[in-house]
Amino acid sequence: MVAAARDEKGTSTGTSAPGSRSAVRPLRQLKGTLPGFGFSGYERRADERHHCPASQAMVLLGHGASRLTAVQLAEEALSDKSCRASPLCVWCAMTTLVCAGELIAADAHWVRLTSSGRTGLDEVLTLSRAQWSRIQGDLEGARRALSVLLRDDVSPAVRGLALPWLVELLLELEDAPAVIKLTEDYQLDRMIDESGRVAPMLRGSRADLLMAEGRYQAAIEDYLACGAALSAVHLGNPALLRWRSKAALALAAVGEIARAKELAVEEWTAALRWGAPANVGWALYVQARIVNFAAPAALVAEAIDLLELGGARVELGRACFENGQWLAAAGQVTMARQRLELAARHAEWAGQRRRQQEIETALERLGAPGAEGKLSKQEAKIAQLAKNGYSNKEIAEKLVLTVRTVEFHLSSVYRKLGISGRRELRSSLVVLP
Amino acid sequence: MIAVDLEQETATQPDLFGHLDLMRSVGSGLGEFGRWGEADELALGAIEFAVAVPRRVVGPALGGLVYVAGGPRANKVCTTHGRPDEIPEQRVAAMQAVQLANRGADRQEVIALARSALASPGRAEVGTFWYAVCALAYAGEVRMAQVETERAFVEGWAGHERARLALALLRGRLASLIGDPRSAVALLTDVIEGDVDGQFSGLALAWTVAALVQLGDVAEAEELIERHDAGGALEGLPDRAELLYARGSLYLAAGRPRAADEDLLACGRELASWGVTNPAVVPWRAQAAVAAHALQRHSLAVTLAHEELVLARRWGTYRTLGTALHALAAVSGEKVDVSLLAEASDLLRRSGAVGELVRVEYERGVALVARRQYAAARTALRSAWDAAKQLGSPAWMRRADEVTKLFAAQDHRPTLTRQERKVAELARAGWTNGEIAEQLNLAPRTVEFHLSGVYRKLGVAGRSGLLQSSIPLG
Repeated sequence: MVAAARDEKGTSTGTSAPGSRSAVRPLRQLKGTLPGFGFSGYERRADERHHCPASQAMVLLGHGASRLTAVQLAEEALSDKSCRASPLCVWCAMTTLVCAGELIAADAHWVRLTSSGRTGLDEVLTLSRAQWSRIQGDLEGARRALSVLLRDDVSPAVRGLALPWLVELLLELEDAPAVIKLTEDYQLDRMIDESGRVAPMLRGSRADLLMAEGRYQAAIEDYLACGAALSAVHLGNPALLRWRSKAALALAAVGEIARAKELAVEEWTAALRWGAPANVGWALYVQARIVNFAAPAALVAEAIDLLELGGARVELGRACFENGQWLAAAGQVTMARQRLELAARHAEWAGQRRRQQEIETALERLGAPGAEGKLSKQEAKIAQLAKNGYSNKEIAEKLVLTVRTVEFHLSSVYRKLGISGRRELRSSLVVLP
Repeated sequence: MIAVDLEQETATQPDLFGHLDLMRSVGSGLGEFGRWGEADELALGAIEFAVAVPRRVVGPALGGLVYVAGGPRANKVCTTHGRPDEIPEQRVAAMQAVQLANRGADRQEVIALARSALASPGRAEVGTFWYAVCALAYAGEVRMAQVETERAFVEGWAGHERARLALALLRGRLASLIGDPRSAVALLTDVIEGDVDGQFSGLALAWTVAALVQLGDVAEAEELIERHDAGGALEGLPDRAELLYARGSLYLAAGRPRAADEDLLACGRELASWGVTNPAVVPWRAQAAVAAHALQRHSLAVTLAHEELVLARRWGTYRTLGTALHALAAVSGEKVDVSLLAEASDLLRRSGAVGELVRVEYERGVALVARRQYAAARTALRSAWDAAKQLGSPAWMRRADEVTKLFAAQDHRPTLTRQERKVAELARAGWTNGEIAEQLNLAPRTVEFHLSGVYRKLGVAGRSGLLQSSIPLG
């Protein structure tokens, strides 16, 4: 595995002039086409048409504007004979449809292309199917598809996207051993240092990893670097990578609320401009989440409606779970139960087993007699500090308390929130009221 | 009795019914993962298989394989007297036409399939006829569909009771689509009362309500809903999506955006569970966008309107495009986008959607008044009035007149104070006095006081008058 990873690095980073080599393998042309996003319509072989509908669609997708036209161009490409024969064109068109949230249209084209028996399209079709499955929250389906694409004989450009996507996916599944194995096998850090092209995507997934570990500062740094690199090549569309909202959540976790808000609003504006319901809903949700749900409840409800409209079950489940936990802690038992039950349904559907258990615990606590999940003022303050990475000693100094008192308060925080301890508190999933 | 037939069929052909059941459940399983492409192929294969079996199959056996309004519930045993028609092979083409239309793809193919089914002797079978006519209507070929239903009517095509009801239902719906809601109400009411086994009554109710809303007869529509006890969640009913849509549109017209928002989103959820995205089937997003806008759920409103436009463009009929542009104009911001409305009315005029046209022209007139472009406003309101007359809707004629008179007397009209305007805007968005008081930090008594000033100055009869009129507040 490690050897394979090195091999990939060797081939995926070495080229400087994408058009200079002849197409030995069907996907050769995809290799190293675009910094960060693996491939796109920007840099193509000199002998290919520059203005085919697929590449135009991809440009619009990257910019995150004119979704209407982008969708039309993508469908035009998929019914155009010469575009349909090119893996690159098929990828551009399919990813445009998927990122535009036109999932049923994408599915229809996928079925048609898969049964057309055309050779050379297998890899891009599997990749776009994985993306399509992930958006709908079919994590297991996406995982299966992506795992296939990590094989050595798959073209580097496709693997270059499959790897970061798989990392993100495994984190959603909270499958820690699999994530660790994957990043070790592929030496994520080294790849980021050494590969120029796929670096932004890989940095994005390293940031996801750091975020899940509660190492917020490092995560912020990676997200911002990833975002800057993407923006530099006009790939600012949040439908491609939601780095702004992810960075915003990390910033909020370390208490930098003002900067967090700024980024969240930026993503929301960009999401509205592109207009795919799932992205708008997520961006709206993050805004509410950043101010710890101090935003009007109507905002969360609107975000949830939008996420449902976009069929984004994973994000929908997460929004319902976090909001449910917050409502539970705030003593709004009925609303909390509704949200958590909805979250449970989506987690089950998406195959998020750990999440299911967490929700079950939260629901049990809600029903337990005498369970009052409301944190006291002091407890809330201490919990927030602990979540932000302060040690007990530092908290004690800051609040002029003994360490024993801090420990005492924290243990009742854990009990009230129904969590096992500090590690869980620091994970981004626990929401403090 | 068909019930007996079904039992016999099941006894002699356990394989076929078992197979169809299996295909239904596999199809819905695939649909849950969004795999409608594969689900559609399976369903089509199952229909072809069933039709090819030499023994006769009755319609309900094919229920639930392709979503259609008014479709039979799967294997529901009909109690209607008389024997069903044999299912012709053209049933496949008719069902495929609706299947494609549901996904919003290949409109030309849909038209071709539906026409081929209707040109065949298979049109004598009620199911084939139903699917084909619905497909034509979705595809924007309403006139062509109407020619078919009228021909069937004149020929005395409907042999038995179920076919007679189905034909009346289709004729009513098409009348409503073509701008003759009065005839629609008459035909559809007949179906509601004549439907014994309940396959069509929900749909007939939904379409009657929609026709009444088109006419502006809000009170009558509300009374109808109440009389048929259709005010609840409607869980598990056939044609729930159509009912929710009609009721949501009604609530919107009655100035209750909150209830409308709930119903319309529920309608969308119901259709999504069938993989139906085409706005030509039910343009719920357009209406939901307007409701969300009234509730100040701006992100949702704008996203819904844009999504409707993307899907309408994909399908490409004048009616769906016009409807989508109308919604987009309505949510476009503080000031309604008049040029979008003009474009919408142009498209709707071409499609013959008179009911929708009246609303667009009226709203365009109101928006132009707000911009003090009186000459243009007069023209728009005049055209709204003309369309209302064509529609046979005194309610809309009166409304157009009201606004025309109002701005003619603009100079003499006492203007609303800033506070009155704020209160009026919130009241129009469906807020209660208590909520308005809380929002604006006022005493409930003060809110009441401001509102009575608003009613007096605008010359409307109380809250319901304010809610139902769209007289500009500025």
